[in-house]
Amino acid sequence: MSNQYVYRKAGRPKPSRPGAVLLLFVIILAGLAVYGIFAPKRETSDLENRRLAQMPAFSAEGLLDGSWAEDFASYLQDQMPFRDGWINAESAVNNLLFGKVEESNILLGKDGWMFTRLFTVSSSTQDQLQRNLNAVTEFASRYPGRVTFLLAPSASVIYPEMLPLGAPMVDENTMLDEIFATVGSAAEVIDLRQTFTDAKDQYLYFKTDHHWTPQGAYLAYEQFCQRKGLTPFDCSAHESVTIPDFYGTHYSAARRWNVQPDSITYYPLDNPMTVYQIDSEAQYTPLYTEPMINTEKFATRDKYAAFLDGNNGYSVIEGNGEGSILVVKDSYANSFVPYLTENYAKIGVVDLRNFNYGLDSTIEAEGYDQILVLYNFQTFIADNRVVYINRPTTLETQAE
Amino acid sequence: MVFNSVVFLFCFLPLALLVYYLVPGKGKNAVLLLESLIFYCWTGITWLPLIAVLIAVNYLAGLFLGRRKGGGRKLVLVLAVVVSAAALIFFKYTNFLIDTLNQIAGLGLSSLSFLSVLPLGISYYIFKLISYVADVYTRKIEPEKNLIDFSAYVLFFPQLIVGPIVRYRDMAQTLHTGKGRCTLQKAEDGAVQFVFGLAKKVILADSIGMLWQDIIAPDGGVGLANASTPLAWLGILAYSLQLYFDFAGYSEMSNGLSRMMGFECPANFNLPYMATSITDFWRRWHISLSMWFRDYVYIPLGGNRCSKGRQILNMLVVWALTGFWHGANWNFLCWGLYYFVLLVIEKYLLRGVLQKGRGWQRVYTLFFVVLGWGIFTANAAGAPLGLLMSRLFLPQGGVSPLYFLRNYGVLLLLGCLFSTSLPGWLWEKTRRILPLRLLLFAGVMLLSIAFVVASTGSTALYADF
Repeated sequence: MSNQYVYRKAGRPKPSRPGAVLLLFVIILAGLAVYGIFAPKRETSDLENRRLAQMPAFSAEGLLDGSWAEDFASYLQDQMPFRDGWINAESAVNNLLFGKVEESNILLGKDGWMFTRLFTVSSSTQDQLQRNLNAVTEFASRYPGRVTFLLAPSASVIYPEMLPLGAPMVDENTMLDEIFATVGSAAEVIDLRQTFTDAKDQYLYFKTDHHWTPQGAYLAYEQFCQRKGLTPFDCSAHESVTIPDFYGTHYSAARRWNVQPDSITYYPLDNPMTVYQIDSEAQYTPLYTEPMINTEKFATRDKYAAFLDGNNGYSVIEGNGEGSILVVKDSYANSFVPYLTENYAKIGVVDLRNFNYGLDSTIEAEGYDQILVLYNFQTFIADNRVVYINRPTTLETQAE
Repeated sequence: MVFNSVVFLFCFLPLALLVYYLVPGKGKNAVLLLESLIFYCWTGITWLPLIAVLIAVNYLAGLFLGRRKGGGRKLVLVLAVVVSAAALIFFKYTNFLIDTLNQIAGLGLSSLSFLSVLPLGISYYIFKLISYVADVYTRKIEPEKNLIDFSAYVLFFPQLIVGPIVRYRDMAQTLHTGKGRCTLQKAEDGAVQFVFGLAKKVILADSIGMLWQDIIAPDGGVGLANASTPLAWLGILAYSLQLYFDFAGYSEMSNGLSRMMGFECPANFNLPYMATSITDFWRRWHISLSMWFRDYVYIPLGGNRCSKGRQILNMLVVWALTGFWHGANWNFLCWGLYYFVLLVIEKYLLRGVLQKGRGWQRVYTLFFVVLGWGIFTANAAGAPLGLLMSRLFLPQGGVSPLYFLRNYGVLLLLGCLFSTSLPGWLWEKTRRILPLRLLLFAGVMLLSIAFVVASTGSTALYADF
């Protein structure tokens, strides 16, 4: 090392001795690699709300066709030490350092707001929407005066000023106008835009989740009661409960570093709900009966799933009112339906995503007076199961 | 197995380097071959016989060409080249040919489904093989007698998927070095190069590339037909930056790995977006490919030492082939011919003009290069050339670029900055300030890892070519 000076020419920077940077490289690489072997493995990721890949079972065949290697790669990817930390860091750097206002298809709006990114409606979604509209309209015209269609607008329609600057969201207002005009020809429609905009200083939508809050649902419910001439559930007569620290689906996707957690304020109504197994068309076997709000789920990450205990194919709730109603819905209805116990004696709930038959036979067999179709805009335009609502019954064809 | 994946970074690479360093002397080549075989067969052993046959043919051809003095040499060279080229043409272009025939003659031939996925790295290793036999034929190099060493050169895992196309003559000396092949200095330089390449790929290329996808992606994009003219320009600019950082980043990772293993390979990119002419651009972009076409097509055809007409014809051949090399599609041919026209104009008309001044030449070069990428990506769904050109050159309204500038502005600026020599210069300046150097290096490395873990591991764009 002493002859180092011999080779040094004046004016050139002294050649740094290699080692330090290399050592750092080795420590980071080998450290994480070795730690990864011993680090505890996880079954699921709470933050990402999904199952994580596990060590694939070894097979010679899988090795030769590359499938084992693929599974092994996703296993390492999913079980990477400090995985949550790395993903949080990536999201934070994107936002703080690179000034990005979008992460994993979630728009990071002002004041902690997050929105589902919807910049375009593809032609296939356009076609799906058309099919859904036809199905609902045809269905409603078979039950004149009995069907109500409630479509919840996206949060971005009510709070456009909270979107990131210049976000080219689709023109949902125009689409809603068209949807309500079409369905309005056959059913009573409830357009919440004015109601929500007038009440926009209330807590209508979660900032970290794609659902509306129980308060937003209540305003919608009030509108429904007004149309039907019902007396709404009296909030002041009940004590509400608030569940803090709700980090919803938007947060799971975007992992916003400066997230403002939501809270869920609800009325602890414990009307019994029976969840049914669907044996065949209009043939149901009760699976279990439980309170319609499963408070155990408030302790988990997926807190919104407490309402109606998630999306069951067919369930029936015993209400305190009179008559019966069938709610055909997506998850927006889950926080809405509890209020209906005030007005109806029997509330049937169908989620067509877990229900394989048309509705006519069930309406007839179970004797539902009223039908409420309740979706939010983004599910309704894209969901390919909405058309099941209009599926012809198979029972009649068998009888003939 | 792409370099920017958890499995490569934290499983394959540490093990590969460890075993490689531990095994002494020329045993390293056997280790290298074994590791490269694992790397090659990672996605399945389907194409192993193909590469084995090609290696055997070219190995034997090399031995023959090296020994023989007189007759039969040319025949053997032609045979070897034809076998390699035929393999490339068959696997890469058969379905394209069938499609074209169907369109022209309406034959209704069905395409071959087993060719729907290109055999891993075929565009790159075939070119390595051809350069090898050609160099042995012209006696620039001695043939490789050791089959293990030769196979290790062809299958060399750092260059297997996305090149660069490093010639045997650039690697032979190290392959035959037993003692002192790897040094601390090389390992450190290689590690730095690898990490910076990784950062270019996963931080810059993947992030900036999303802007173009936001426009053209069939699901979720705003649609090129709805984009305003400024947004269309912003999009194609972002695509240009993505392509550069994707490919240059991957090449740097490759060269960094090679260097860690003792091989000094020539740079594949030299700040191409700083070029002062189209000619200059092609001396800086994908250098290993340009050199290959120069040495093994252009010069054998006569190069510059022939009539003007012949020279132009030679250039036409080179650029048509360069275009087609990038993929079996007409847009790639058009892209090659586009450069043929530009380069002929530069060579015979603009040479004098381009030598004066520096500023406007860069603008002129970038303009045509960016436009060229528009042709290059015209086969992507959602980016037909006619639509792109009308969006770029007929000023019109549509989705404004405001949101995209807001969302990608900093990354685009960084992209432009890292297309210049400034970051490299700054890194050199930190040589004397070790703590700063360590901090920078750790920051870049950790950030790159975060992006690798958070992403779903996108492959290199150039792996498809």
